[in-house]
Amino acid sequence: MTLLETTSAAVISTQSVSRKPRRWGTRLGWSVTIGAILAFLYVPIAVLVLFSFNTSRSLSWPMEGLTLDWYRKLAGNEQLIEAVGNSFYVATCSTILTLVIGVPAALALDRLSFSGKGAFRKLVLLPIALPGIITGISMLILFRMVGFTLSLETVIIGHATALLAVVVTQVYARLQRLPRSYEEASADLGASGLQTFFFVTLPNIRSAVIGAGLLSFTLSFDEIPVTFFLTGRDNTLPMYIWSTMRRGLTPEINAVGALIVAFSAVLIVLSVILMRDKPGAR
Amino acid sequence: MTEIVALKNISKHFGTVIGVDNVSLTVEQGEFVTLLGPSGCGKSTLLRMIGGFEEPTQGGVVISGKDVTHLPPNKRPVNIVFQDYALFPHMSVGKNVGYGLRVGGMRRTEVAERASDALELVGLADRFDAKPHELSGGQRQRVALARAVVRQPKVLLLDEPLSALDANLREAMQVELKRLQRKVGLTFIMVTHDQTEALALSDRVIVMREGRVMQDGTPDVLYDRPSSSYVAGFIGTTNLFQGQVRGETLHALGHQLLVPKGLAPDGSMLTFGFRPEKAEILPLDAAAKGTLPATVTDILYHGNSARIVVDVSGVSLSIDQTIAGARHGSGLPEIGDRVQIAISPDRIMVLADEVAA
Ligand SMILES: Nc1ncnc2c1ncn2[C@@H]1O[C@H](COP(=O)(O)OP(=O)(O)O)[C@@H](O)[C@H]1O
Ligand SMILES: [Mg+2]
Repeated sequence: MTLLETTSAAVISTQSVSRKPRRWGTRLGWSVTIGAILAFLYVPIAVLVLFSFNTSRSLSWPMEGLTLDWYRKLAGNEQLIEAVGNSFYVATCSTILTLVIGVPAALALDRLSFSGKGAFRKLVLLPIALPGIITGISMLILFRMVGFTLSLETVIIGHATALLAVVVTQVYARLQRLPRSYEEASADLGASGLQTFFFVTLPNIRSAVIGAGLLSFTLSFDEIPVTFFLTGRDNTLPMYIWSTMRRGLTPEINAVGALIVAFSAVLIVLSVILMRDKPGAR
Repeated sequence: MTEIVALKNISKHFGTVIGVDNVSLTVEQGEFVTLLGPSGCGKSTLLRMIGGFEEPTQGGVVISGKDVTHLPPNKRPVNIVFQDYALFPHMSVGKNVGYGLRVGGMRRTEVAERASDALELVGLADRFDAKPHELSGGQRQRVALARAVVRQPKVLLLDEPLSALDANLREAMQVELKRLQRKVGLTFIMVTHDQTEALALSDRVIVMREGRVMQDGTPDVLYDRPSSSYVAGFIGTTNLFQGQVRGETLHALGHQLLVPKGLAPDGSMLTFGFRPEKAEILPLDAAAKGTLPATVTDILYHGNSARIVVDVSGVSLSIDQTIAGARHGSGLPEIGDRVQIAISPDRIMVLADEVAA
């Protein structure tokens, strides 16, 4: 998940310094600073990707040769493939669940006035400040009490709970900037509440919903603490990696990492395309 | 004439704030009625109760003979043009205009047809595919109008429709609005704080203050016979002074003026007023009865007329004099001149200073 964030942050910072430099001295100073920041952010990732092609198991420089062996090995690792599948399943379901609950919650917060609204808002947002370990343990206790067997589905519920705050915060912030007269105009023109939501409100908060969804997905994808407490026998990818790492770093892990980097890159491109607001839209 | 909107003793409270206070009024089919008053007097709230965006705390709303007090906006045969136009930014102009028909279940092709007809009406047929943000302020205004009339509502509500436009455009749009209203024969209820706009456009103006109706009348009645100094002061300029009537004489400003018999009850101290153009400035030596001696303190030129400010017994009065083109300036006094002013007796207004019922 941090991949998504850091990459976009880096993109922003490169853009903002491309303004006209005043003097060569300052320009040089800036270049060094930028270079240092980028190196700090990306050297570890570059190393990871590079060593995933290394013929040798050792992590020493220079590399002995290039190979795709580790990727072939990955393809044959059933446990790993299952873990990846589980991670996708959990991340997708918890994202959908949290959106389905979070978007209406944000709407209620913004559009309705009811007593205790302030308290409701704080309570919805609080879990974001709770350590995952607390969410994990408390939900574990709850699930035990009501007699749920632990499975990927309990993980999904746990993730959705923790992620709700992310969705509500982002969508609520967008709704606050959306003039209420749009919805009033829609109602005035004869639209029902649902028509207004799908034809007017949703298109105008689209990028916030997509952004919150992508962020939820990545957060869920690499979540460990909540997953650790709530999963049954199934492993998600981060849990699998973590468990194999106890037996030492392998180039196979590098290969998994490299694939995740590639996947994140796809997500970033996707988010840039999807979140590009149409001209005129807010 | 048939009554299309009736508000019955309608009030709206926002907690302890009283937005609208026991207002009753009716609007006839095809009328152009304007709610006029300063900011915060409850005009928008009143309009929003007709549109269904606010539910009255008390009283009822009847549209076209049907009680709609508790119906939501989408169940009322009225449409509103918002102050910020509220055009949907993600839809083209044509989609915006057609929106009301589309959500009503009309076929796509017919919607497009009707939408372009409506755009034609406001002279924007060629901007069907443009996005709202590509339009100028005046064009957006017209799209909002087209979108509101396309559903053929019984009443069109307009909340300060011209206030977002600059002065030149505003005047052009006034003409446009009036033309549109005549053309489609629709009932308009407009809200504004601009008295010129209200007088120029409306068949009837309702002057509001602090949630209540101060006066309800045609523009000329409001101008010639304002019922209170509040209305007199809000609409045009009025010279106000205190006085006492005895028979056909008005004792005011330390002098005596002639007034028609029965202008006001004998003997009580009241507020009187006259419009700047209803008085004349005469040289001091001219023999005239019932005039006020005055000193000129200021002269303001307005093209073909001038406003002359005079002092009468310590009260400042404004008088408009036209300047005859050929004899430029010759008819006007100079600052410091001693003059006398004659007010046409039938142009003196009596103003109830209590709030009108
Ligand atoms: N939603 C609201 N909540 C609280 N007070 C309101 C609300 N809407 C209007 N008011 C108050 O009601 C009064 C009338 O407001 P409004 O109808 O908007 O006035 P106008 O349109 O004449 O400027 C004002 O004092 C305003 O502050
Ligand atoms: Mg208003």
